[in-house]
Amino acid sequence: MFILKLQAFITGFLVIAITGRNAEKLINLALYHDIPLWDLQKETDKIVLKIDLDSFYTLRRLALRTGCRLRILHKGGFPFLYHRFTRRRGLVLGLCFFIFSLYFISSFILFVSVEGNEVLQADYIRRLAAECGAYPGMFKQRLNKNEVVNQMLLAEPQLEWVGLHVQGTRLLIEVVEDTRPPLEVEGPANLVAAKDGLITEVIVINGEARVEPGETVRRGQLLVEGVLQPQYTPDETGEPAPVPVRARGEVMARVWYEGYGEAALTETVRERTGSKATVWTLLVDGQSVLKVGRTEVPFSKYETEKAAKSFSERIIRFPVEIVTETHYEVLESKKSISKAQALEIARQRAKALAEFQLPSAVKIERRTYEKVLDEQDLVGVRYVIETVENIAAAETIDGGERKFDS
Amino acid sequence: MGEKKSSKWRYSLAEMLELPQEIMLNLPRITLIGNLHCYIENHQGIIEYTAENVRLAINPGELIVSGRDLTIRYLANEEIAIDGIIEKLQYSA
Repeated sequence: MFILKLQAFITGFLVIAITGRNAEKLINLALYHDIPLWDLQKETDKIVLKIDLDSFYTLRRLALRTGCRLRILHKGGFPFLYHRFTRRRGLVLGLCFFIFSLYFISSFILFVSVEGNEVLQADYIRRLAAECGAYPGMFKQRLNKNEVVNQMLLAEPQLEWVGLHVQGTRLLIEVVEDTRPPLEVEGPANLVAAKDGLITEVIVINGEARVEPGETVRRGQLLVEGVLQPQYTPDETGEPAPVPVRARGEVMARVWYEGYGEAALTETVRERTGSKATVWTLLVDGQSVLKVGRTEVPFSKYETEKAAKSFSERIIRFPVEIVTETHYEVLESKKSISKAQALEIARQRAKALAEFQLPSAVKIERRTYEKVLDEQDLVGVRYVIETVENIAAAETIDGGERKFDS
Repeated sequence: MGEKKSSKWRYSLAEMLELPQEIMLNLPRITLIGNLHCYIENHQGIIEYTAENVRLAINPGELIVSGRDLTIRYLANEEIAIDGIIEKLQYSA
């Protein structure tokens, strides 16, 4: 029905009125000649109907035979539209111009909006983006998102993350700001130990040292007190009170990071034999509809890999998903290794654990390791990394939140 | 007489093979949607068409669709779609 109307629109159709006493007869004749008719409407003395352009000539011949009169009321469809347009070139030209200019203008970025900023001004971020190569009025094709993002992140350290999205003619800049509080502590503060360690050097810029080189300190212990002893002046009477200040300085200390690792002399090794069983599950809206494959895994020991594959979500989201489960048969075998090999494995494990605790950018003084466990089937190794680093951290005198200088 | 016998034979064949009877017996198939639309397949031509009555030739006799503001939305050989307010369907010989 719709197809017929569409076809009629493309090839052209006529709205005609049939008058005469044998109108039904003419319609039956038309049916007999396979002429499709539609939208028939009876009016007082005529039948109004639609007919396609090609069949009209046949119908006219039939009308002569039945003695009916045909009158064309309206011509519709593409051929007539085309004819009209050829006579109105200006309109067609204007239409083409309109479509072209719409397309042309929409290939530019016209607006830039900023989302997610809390501290930084949106205007500032817009200016920054413009400097980095994303400005209103630019050609969309020339926007290099990665480069703009990288440059923006470099230029403004307060930005943690920047995302650019082009939505039509609008460029959306999504930003995430660094909202961590500043590391510096305001007001009077002491320096305390951030880690356990052995003091090697104390450099006080402000305040009074409470530890000496050679002392061992525990985490949280006071290192430099933030007080300033006022000079005794003979004019004043009474005990002069120490003035609280912000302690500054560096307290270098030896710090040890250790890790412990074990290794067994006989280790269980899981190896895939190569045989596998795969089960496919078709999920519709999260519910399994169809399962293809062996439902019972034919292996005694196996590993399972699961992979979900859904259809492209580019245009619309299909609620259909195919989940592939692959069971790999594994063979467990005991593998014995020599003591030296086990020691090496344990050492590697201990080393990894120790290095995991190590802060970045510190100077490593010494690495040592020792065997601490030596049983028939098990060896244990302790791995120690020694560093010299500044362990001083500021803590407000009134017991406020402690923030470490790094 | 021969006609009647043949139709009986066709009927039993259609029954046996579970074939659609409107095809085997050349009968019209009528689909009504409420009183708004009426589709008739396998008709044999229009006898009369007014806004109140559509008379169609069908295999045995005639089918009259009565109502108000009847329009024929689509008309082709053996197929007709009638729109409007349908009040009555009537078979007559």
